[in-house]
Amino acid sequence: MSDILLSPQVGINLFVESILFMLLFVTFFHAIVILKNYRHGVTTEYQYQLQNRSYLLITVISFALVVKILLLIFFTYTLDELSNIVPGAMCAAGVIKTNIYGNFVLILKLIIIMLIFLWLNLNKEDQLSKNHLFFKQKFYFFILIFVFIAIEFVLEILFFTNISTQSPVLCCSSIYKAAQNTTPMILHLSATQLITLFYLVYLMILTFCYLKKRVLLFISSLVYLYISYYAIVYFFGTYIYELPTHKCPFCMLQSDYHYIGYLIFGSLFIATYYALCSAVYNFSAKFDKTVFYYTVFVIVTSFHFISYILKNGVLL
Amino acid sequence: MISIKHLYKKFSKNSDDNFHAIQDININIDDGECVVLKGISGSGKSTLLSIIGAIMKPTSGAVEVKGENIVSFSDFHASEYRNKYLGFITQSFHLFDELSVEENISVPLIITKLSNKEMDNKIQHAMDIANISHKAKQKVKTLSGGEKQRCVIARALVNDPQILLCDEPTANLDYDNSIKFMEIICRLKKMNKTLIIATHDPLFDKLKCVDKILHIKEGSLE
Amino acid sequence: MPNSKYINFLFLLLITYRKKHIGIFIISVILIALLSSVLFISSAIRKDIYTTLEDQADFTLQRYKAGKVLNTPESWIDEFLQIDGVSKVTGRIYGMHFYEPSQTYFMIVGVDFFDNGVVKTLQTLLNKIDVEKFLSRDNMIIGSGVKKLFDDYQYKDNYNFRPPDRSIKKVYIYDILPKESNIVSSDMVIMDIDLAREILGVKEGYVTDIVLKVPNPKEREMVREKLTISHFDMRIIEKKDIEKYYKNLFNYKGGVFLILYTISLITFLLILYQRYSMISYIDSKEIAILRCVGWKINSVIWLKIIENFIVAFSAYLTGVIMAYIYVFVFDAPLLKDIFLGYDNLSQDVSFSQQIDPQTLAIVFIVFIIPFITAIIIPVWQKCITEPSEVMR
Repeated sequence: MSDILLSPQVGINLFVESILFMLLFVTFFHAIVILKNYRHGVTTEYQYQLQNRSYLLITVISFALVVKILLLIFFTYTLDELSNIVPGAMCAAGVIKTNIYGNFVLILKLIIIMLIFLWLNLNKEDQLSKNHLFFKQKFYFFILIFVFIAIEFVLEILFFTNISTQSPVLCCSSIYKAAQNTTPMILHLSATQLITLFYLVYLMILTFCYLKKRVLLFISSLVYLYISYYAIVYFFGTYIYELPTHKCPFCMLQSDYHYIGYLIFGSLFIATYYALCSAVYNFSAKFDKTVFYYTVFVIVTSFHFISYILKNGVLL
Repeated sequence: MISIKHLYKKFSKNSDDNFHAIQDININIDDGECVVLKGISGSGKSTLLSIIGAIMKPTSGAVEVKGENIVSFSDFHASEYRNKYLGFITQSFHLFDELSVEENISVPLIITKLSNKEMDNKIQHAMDIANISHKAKQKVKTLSGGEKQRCVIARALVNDPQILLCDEPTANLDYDNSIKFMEIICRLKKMNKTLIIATHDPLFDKLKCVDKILHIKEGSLE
Repeated sequence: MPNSKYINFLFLLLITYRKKHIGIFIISVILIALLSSVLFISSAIRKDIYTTLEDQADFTLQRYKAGKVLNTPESWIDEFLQIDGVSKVTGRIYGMHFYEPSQTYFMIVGVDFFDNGVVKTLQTLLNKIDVEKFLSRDNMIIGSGVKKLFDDYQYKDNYNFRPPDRSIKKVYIYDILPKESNIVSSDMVIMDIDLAREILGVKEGYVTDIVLKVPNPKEREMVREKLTISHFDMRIIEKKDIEKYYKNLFNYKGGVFLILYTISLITFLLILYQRYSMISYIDSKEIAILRCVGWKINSVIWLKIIENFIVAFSAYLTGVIMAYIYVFVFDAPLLKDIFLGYDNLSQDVSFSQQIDPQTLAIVFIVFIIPFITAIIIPVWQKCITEPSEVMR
């Protein structure tokens, strides 16, 4: 364990996360004070001061977003560095699987970034409204985000302190192996079924956007997120790597594959954000942007698969 | 049209020590009117101007500008209101001394979405009205009192505001510059700007373009 | 939002009120330069050591009895050659020579000049080595640290070694190892293997240790097992253990440094917080003017944050450039001794120039993010003050 903690990248991750957490903790206290004392429409000096405190929240959370995104990228590189001292790990995928906390940390990081984007959307609407329509909702939402950040912080410490440099881990082809050509997701779908579902749900989403069915859009975007992850790792990824056993979500983020992973996961992330925005917030329906980004995602993901078939005439 | 209804402002340092700066003020000001608020120091004129300018919130009451109650505006809307509809002219000038006249005047425009060319045109136009174009590149700290005042006027006019709030504008000016200032005021009145001037300078009593003079004493209208 | 007038205004404010920021700027530059220098040095050393290690043998075997390393029997060499997967087995002779007057050691390394591989490696270090001429008499090739020692004690072109048998062995200086290899070779003396054996008093039939090459990585596990059961009085050091050892050593030294550095950084952040919490009249006036002409609180806060970010970022660039010059142009005097250890010979080392983008990212993240975090609350407090109070 001490080998890991002495690695500078890990130390830096934890140091910067701690500092950010302290700032958010202070902001959390302000948020509690505001929620307890704010009365809408009351015009005392104290109420104006509470309104002013909200600007701290806006600044801190916008700053936290930038930092969280930077730290997510740095976290990925830290994992890659750690793969040199964790036995058996060939890349970040192996390091993530050294203990049970790894996956949770990564998922939480992504959820937090998504929630902060949604919060900023809510904040923008609150500011545009003439009478602080969503003032209290902003703070409740922030508290939810803070809870997630606190859990992520604790899990990240547990993750790093429980990485063993003695016991070997599996590399991605074992981690992500498909038993008898099925994927380890719910229903154990075959690759063909998975891909059919991938395109089908995409078309459903387009339909819901056109019909402006918010609830259905919400559900289908979350379902699509789940399906897309498996489709990328177990199917489309193999066409990017041109190797049927190479099933790894991390390698496509590297320079060897021209960082295509960022475009794929980035467009999926943005598309999901717009879908959730349109679904959750009545005021900021961005159906056209949702459609656009999902289409970009599907095109980029399918590109390698289709070009492989066109070039070689066979499937992997 | 500016409509002030039952405006109160109380400053309280602690629960016992309350200072009533404004007590039940009701005023209606039409578009294009020039109104002078007269009163001694501490009578509440500056507080009233600050509230009309949405840089201070009252304890109770309403200030309606173009049908909207600006008192309940969030900072987002209050700032937009100030940027688009208001210009401030104060006694202490409140300029960036180390910046040039032109740079000072551009400050309200920086946060707008205008192109550089549009901004330059507006700045030039404002400097022409205030008669300070010849000092455009000079640093503010090298200007005389009267020139600084004209720079403030230009900055207040650069966004073509409907309302101008002047707080003791001639307090730091000599007689000649005060006269020049009042000439500019009359010119602005002709441009159909609404002018609210808080002052205890007796020169304003005889100004022809003043539509009404309101006397404020201890936070109330006399 | 950031149109050219905004950027112009921002820089005007920075330049006009530069006195506010100058103290913080200087301290930031020092902290960044220190951190960057340490990171540059450690990554340069690491790279050099790993390059050297690449050529190292996969296994090093030493006779080990009762916790002591003993000379290894040469007969074991033939034994190991029988193991499948082992391509080359060589006995090495080396040891430390203690030079009493200066209380320092240098490392004597015996080299078999008839081994082609060896001579090639040496030839990359020296432009050309005439083996015949070298072996015509007792010659040695020395590292620059040893050269300095000899110069200090007036040994111009030869030195008298005293082997354990109380004889005197005069050895001539043939050439000096280049400065670029100094990280590993500064205190080295390379000579013919038989000469080394004489000077170090290693008996015939023995060597200091035995090295093995196992080209196929997949066979190394198996070879290790076979070696382990071949002799119970033997210590096996695999190349990857050395890599891990160095990595941990750097991490340890780096870790100690980082802990001390973190304490300084936190102190600096507290100073920063205090400094920016002091609300000066100029600041209040500036903010009041902006609020009165229609700037939103958010816009003012972001202006101030960007202003401070520019201060921090310029300090970052300045610090990194200064560190680069300090490490790669001036070879990091003082600091390198802490890393390389100055208890033996002086390390006259030249660092190979390279900038690792990860190092730059680390410095950025460690410094800039905490910097901005420290100033957010003071900036916000300043920006929410009532402009009407200032405008009176």
